[in-house]
Amino acid sequence: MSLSPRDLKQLFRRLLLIRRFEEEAFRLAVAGKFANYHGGMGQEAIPAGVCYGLKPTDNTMITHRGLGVLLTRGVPVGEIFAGLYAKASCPTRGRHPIFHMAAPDLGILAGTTMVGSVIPLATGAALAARIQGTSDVTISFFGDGSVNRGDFHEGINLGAVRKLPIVYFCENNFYAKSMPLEASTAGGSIISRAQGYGLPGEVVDGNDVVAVYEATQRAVARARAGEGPTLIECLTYRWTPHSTAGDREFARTDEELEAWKAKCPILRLRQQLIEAGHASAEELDAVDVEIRHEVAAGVEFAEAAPYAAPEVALENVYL
Amino acid sequence: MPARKRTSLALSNEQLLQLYEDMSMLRAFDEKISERCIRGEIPGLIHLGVGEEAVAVGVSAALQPQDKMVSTHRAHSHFLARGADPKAFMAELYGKATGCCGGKAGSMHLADLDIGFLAANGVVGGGLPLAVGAALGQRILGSDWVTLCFFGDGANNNGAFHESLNLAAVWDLPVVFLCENNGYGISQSIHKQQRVANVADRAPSYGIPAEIIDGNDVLEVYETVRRAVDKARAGGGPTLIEAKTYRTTGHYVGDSESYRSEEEVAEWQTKDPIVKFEKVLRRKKLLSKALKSEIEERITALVEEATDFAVHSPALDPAAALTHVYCEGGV
Amino acid sequence: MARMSYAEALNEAHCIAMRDDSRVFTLGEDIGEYGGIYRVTKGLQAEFGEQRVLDTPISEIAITGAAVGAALVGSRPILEIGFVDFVGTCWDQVFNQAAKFSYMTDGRASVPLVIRMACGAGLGYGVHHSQSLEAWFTHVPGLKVVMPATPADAKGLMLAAIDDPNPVVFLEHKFLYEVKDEVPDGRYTVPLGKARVAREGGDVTIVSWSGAVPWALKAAEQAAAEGIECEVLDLRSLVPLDEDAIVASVEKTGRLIVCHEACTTGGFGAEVVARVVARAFDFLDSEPLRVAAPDIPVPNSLALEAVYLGTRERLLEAVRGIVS
Repeated sequence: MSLSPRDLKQLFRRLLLIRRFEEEAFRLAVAGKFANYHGGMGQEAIPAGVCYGLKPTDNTMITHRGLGVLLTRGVPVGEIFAGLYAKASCPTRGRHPIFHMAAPDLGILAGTTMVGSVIPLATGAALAARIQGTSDVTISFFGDGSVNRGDFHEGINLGAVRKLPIVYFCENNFYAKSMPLEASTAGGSIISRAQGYGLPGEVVDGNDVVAVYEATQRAVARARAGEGPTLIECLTYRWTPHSTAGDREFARTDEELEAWKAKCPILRLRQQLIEAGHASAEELDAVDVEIRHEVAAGVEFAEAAPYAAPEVALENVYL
Repeated sequence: MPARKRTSLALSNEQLLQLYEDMSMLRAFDEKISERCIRGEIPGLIHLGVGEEAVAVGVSAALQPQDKMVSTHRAHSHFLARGADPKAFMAELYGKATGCCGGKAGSMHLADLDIGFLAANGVVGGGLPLAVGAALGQRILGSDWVTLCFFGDGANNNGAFHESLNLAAVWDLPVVFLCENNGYGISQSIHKQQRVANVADRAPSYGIPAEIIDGNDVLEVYETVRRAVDKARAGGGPTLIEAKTYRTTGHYVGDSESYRSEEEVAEWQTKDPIVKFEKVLRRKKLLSKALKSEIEERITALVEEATDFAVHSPALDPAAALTHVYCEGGV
Repeated sequence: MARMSYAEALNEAHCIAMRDDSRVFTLGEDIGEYGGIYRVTKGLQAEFGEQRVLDTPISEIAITGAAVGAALVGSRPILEIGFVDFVGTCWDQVFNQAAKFSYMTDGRASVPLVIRMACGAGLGYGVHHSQSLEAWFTHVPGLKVVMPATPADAKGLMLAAIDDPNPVVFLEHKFLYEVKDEVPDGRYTVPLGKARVAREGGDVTIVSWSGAVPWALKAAEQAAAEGIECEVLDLRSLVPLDEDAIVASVEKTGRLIVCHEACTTGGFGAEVVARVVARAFDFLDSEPLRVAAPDIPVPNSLALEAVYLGTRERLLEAVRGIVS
């Protein structure tokens, strides 16, 4: 379970890929290239850390801020950009936003934009794994905004009582759109809810990719061993507004944002790699150059991609 | 949990006897309803509260007249204990125009706003958000009522429970959540439905204080609810009370009860809340044989009168089925 | 008269109602300082405080039920659910609880509640944020269903909805929020159940509501250039339905097209056609038509969403077809 220098460099690459993608996607959305983007800049350690040790057959279900999972589990950069541009050259053929993208071969079950609705769906995926006798684990991502919805309660209770192989993974960035966590959530914390389902819970520094990886691996091991679900709460912060569709951030302060930027997950790992002598600054900068090219090529691909033919709108309503 | 003094909330001897009489009255009504339901006189799904009378009576004794009550599908006891007119109640079960809801509600949708009984409910968990709303309305209107929300153990795995407790807690609303935990959601034991042993185990998740009590002990129910209601009225926010009890009859009239053993039912019958309280009263020398017969006679007369009223009320005009889909006029 | 947007007109209706009656309050997600997704509640919290403009957690079951419960005890809540697509999460509280109280108590209880929800496509919001589900609500006796098409109606219907002792589902089209028009000053109500003749004409009746009204007016204008005079009827509310106005118009024109944004099958257009056939069959010169969306979810890509919204273009063809 412990990470080798090679693993750490791999993680660094993934973190950086998400960051450069996020930056570019945010820039393009603000420039009006596509309708709306729910950026996850600042939260990169979570998708990178969670997905790193998963088997390809383990399932992940994402939220509206799930770009990092798509990238780390291997959806090509260009296809995701094409998804943002609502072009035909992506798994949804432009029919749906990227968070509805399904890539079953990569363990990506289609996500949902309904806050919290993913939790019962993911629980169902875990139930199927149990019934079919596979060793696959499901990771259900959700945000702090989900935890007061009935779907959270019913989904997690079912996972708990049946001891299903699932990890309930909360990305707590402290604001559900404009709603601060403490104004919406009684009981003082999200993790305190775990006891109400008889589940173990763990709070993790969501800006520490190694901590995220390790906590996930512990929970996944428990799930695979038939010991049931774990609730993980990752503390993090989004650097950009809830979405690019005119969201205002009056509830958040500049000081708060700056304090979280100082905890940048990428800078942290970079320093760690350099200080431990696992990599030189030049080596890591070279990775950055390479990634910037990859992202730019992805944008180019999406820009050049065609829109879907109108008939596509009428297809696949039923199988 | 603070230490409890049995008679700390000081009920008079008359009040103690009233609790006994009320519980016995609820039992007698449900027995009559069961009989008439089996005879085919009362239609529909009928959920009896036999064995759970101490909860209904203890709770009602702890409320003030202005307080609101939200109930469940097992509502007869709550409704009568809260002070509903027995004749209008029986007529409602019989589906007569003289019923408290004109025959449209029946057993599962009983309501009487004049006594603060807002709604029974046909949907498990359906009443929890309504109760939060009644408490919110209290705040908006600047009134001083507390809302008592009954729900069953079956509702605590429903999303409505989670959302309602969180909302009541985060807004500090004057509502008391009273779980009648009778161990089964229809045929499913609570242990098959959740991993935590008690409903009250969930309260800390919402920062809500909780107490687990013997739901077959009417005084314990009364005292616990009274403290929670007083606290809520004073601005102290919500409380969750889990009353452990048991329905000694089936989920509904006609239930096969294949999911539980006769031994289990028999064991709970030994904890019958009425018999239990009768012993308390006897020890206090409050209930003589003569007085007991007197009470029984009174109850029999009340039940007969209400049943006769229901039976002999005229049949409904079918045209009534088309009225009051919408409320006319202003409010 | 002042020129203002549909969203501003709704905001003004809230202000008037809340100033006039301390029982009126509003609750919903992000409606406080944030002012709501569509700015309908902008500034309300500053004026009326946090106790009457309540930001809620994302807990649609609890907040819908709480609005019903608060109405039941005598207050007058206005609930915002940001997208009608989300109503599935709290559907029980809408159709089983709110809608049933008057009936199940035989008129002894009432639920004076307004549930505001945004509907409609056209902004690339995808399958969970673009639907028009009005037909669902019309199928539930006990709910009233209101769908304004203009700023003036938005304000007047909102005030009427707040006054109404019943649960009113108030569907606002998100494409209309920024549309500006003249709005009368002060308090006035537009009665529920009274359709508006948005344009007079003698050849074809186009019945529409909400976001489809501008389409109907545009098609009518284009048709007029070709010598076809369309009468455009804006229903304003589907429940209660102004059947008399529909029948009167069809008796005049002899031709009926119902145009709505929602999917065709099971859409409210079917109800309108059925009522006209039952009451004015002999006046019809040709079979009534529904012009509505294909039976598909709403796709994200604007190129594909245009297929869903193809009603706009097909309406003029339908007008030409029905008179030929």
